[in-house]
Amino acid sequence: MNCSRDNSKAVVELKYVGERLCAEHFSSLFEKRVRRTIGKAKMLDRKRDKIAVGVSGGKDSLVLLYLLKKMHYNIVAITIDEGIRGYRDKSLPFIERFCRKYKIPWKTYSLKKEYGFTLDSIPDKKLMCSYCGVLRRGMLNKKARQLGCTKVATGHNLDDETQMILMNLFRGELERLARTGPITGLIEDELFVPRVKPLRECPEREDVLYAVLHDIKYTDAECPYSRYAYRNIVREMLNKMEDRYPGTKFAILRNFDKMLPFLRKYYMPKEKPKRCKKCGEITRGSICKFCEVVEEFG
Amino acid sequence: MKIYVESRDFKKNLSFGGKTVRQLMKELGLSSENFVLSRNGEIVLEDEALKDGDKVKLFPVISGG
Repeated sequence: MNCSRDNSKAVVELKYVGERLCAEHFSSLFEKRVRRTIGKAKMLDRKRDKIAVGVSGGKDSLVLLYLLKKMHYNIVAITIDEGIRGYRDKSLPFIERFCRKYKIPWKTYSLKKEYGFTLDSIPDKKLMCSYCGVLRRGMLNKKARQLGCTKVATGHNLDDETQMILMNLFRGELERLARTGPITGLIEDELFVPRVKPLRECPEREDVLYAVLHDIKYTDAECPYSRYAYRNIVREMLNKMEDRYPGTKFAILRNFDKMLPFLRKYYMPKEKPKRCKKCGEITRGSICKFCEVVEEFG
Repeated sequence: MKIYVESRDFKKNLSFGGKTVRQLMKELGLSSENFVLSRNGEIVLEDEALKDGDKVKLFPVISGG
């Protein structure tokens, strides 16, 4: 089967646009899409922003790092080692090799070293993804700020985004949904580093393809706790819909983006964020979620 | 024909009676949608024909946390 554009050998079939593309046309489309995503939401500024890229060593974060480097952004890679044995320890060498190859500064911070516990030591495995999210986001924000970064970029892809949208809708978490979008949070506070997702319009499958085509060596280890996640059920449902009705995921994201201003108008908290009594970071209550988790398991 | 297949969770040589990557995936009980596929180091679509001695690699789409 050949490329719809130049008749050379196709490497991918994009059912949602009815095209088959060769490696060259696919890469060009992928990069153009990421540039457009960044530009459309004014996510990043080459002159003003120093960007902390959250890197796990998986395909999404390394593809993001590769592209931001290629696009000449001022970047520093940050890895939060949450202490998941057989997963995080396997991924660290991939990040180290990648950053050395592309001459990208890399910082790694360990939950164990800073707070005295690991994710593995938390007994409640069913809520692991929530705890992990709170801890990783909290540490990433704090470390990025300490490094003088003005943005945090993460490798969330189209599949992650559409799963998150549906999960929040199913759970009725409209306030949480209002805080998401291309630039997360939009809290205007000196302690908060805005988070951006330049790959949010890239299907997960295409991240893998781009990584393989560009010889980006990533870890494909699965987090041992991901099987507990509610997300898996939503993922399966979305993949079935996409298979039957190609373009479903893009439609969800685009329509969500249209709804976002209304969600923000009605569901974004109006009051200014407070300071956590324990750590001084941003919180809605008196103690932040990060400190609650540390207090419970640290 | 003999085909060598490698993925995250397994590596094996198998005797294959079919013709294409699609048929190979069916024999393995796997969905092509969940993998990016290469044959002898080159990315291929599932309608690609296989021949004796080919090395097929499966890159899982779902990984990470």
